[in-house]
Amino acid sequence: MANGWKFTWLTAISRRTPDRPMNLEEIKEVSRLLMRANEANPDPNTSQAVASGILLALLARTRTGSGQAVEVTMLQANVRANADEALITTDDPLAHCLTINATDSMRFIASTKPTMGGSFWPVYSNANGGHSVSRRTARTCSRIPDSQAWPPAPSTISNSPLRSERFLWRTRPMSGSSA
Amino acid sequence: MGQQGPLSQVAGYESVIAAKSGRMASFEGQMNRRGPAYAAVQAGTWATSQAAVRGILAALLARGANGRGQWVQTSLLQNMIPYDLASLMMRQLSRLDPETFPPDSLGARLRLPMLQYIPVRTKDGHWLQHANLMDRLFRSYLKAVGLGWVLQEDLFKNAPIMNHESREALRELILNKMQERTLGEWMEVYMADGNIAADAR
Repeated sequence: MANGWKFTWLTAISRRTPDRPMNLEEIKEVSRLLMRANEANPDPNTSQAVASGILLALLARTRTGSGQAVEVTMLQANVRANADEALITTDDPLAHCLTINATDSMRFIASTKPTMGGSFWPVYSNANGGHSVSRRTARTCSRIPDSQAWPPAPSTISNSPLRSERFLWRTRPMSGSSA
Repeated sequence: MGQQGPLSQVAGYESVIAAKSGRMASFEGQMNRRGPAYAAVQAGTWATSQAAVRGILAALLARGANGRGQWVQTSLLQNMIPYDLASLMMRQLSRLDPETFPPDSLGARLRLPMLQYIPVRTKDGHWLQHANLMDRLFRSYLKAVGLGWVLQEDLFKNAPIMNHESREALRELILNKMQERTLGEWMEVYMADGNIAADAR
């Protein structure tokens, strides 16, 4: 897959599940869960930007007398709408403090400093084998001055009281780590 | 929360508004338990910020037209409404007239996705979320992945408009077919077809 956005009728690439084969019923259930988590918000997200653009153009016309071309892309609008989750890669300066703990089903950042509530944060794997985290995650982690001071990660994801419900459907004991 | 009322001095956080308004209830069914699920996407915050921008712009236009300043206000709750396509309305209808509009049971929330939006698993364990909503796009997808033959079968010839039996049979064909290749291999197929996925750089 070349660099760049792949778009149109394929809307998203989700995370990787274990290499072990899954039977049809398991696949159906995960398919259902993924779809339930899928909100049709890109359309209304974009309509917000379109409406703002039109009003801005009307104001500009009032002030300058010139009509304006209004153009919005779904990609632009949705990156703005999901700014907290817009992705950075792990070589971003913001990501210096991240420790990535691997499970056998997916990767998590263990932000286990007590003041952070011992919560887990998702790490997204991309099709090229790289990993990225959300900007919100990076900002939160970057407030921790010394990542070495973090206590060890809990042995299981389910030990985390502030875990994100979105990722609970595939929880496994920690089986290794990488940074 | 608002200009008046008992909660007017309380800061309005999106997650609180989403929980109190029932938005999180509309995500029920993501977990293997009953009850609401956390609405992770901060859609209301984005929409509210844009509503504020539009309100300010509209106020500037109004001031330019009549010379008077305007009071601008919006709310998180107002701006979450466009994201709810039907569930809040259906809940209200079922409260008002439960016979005509029976409450949406968990059974409905456990319903499998429509085939045009089906998430599928690839051979190497990746998941793809499809969005072939238009009939022609769905048919292009079937042909691209090697399932075009089903359109010649009586059981599937009207795909994606089918009865339950046909739909579930085709679901199994699709889910099994997608297990035959890796994510990279499927992306090559999709990109080559041009109707399934394309560069949007």
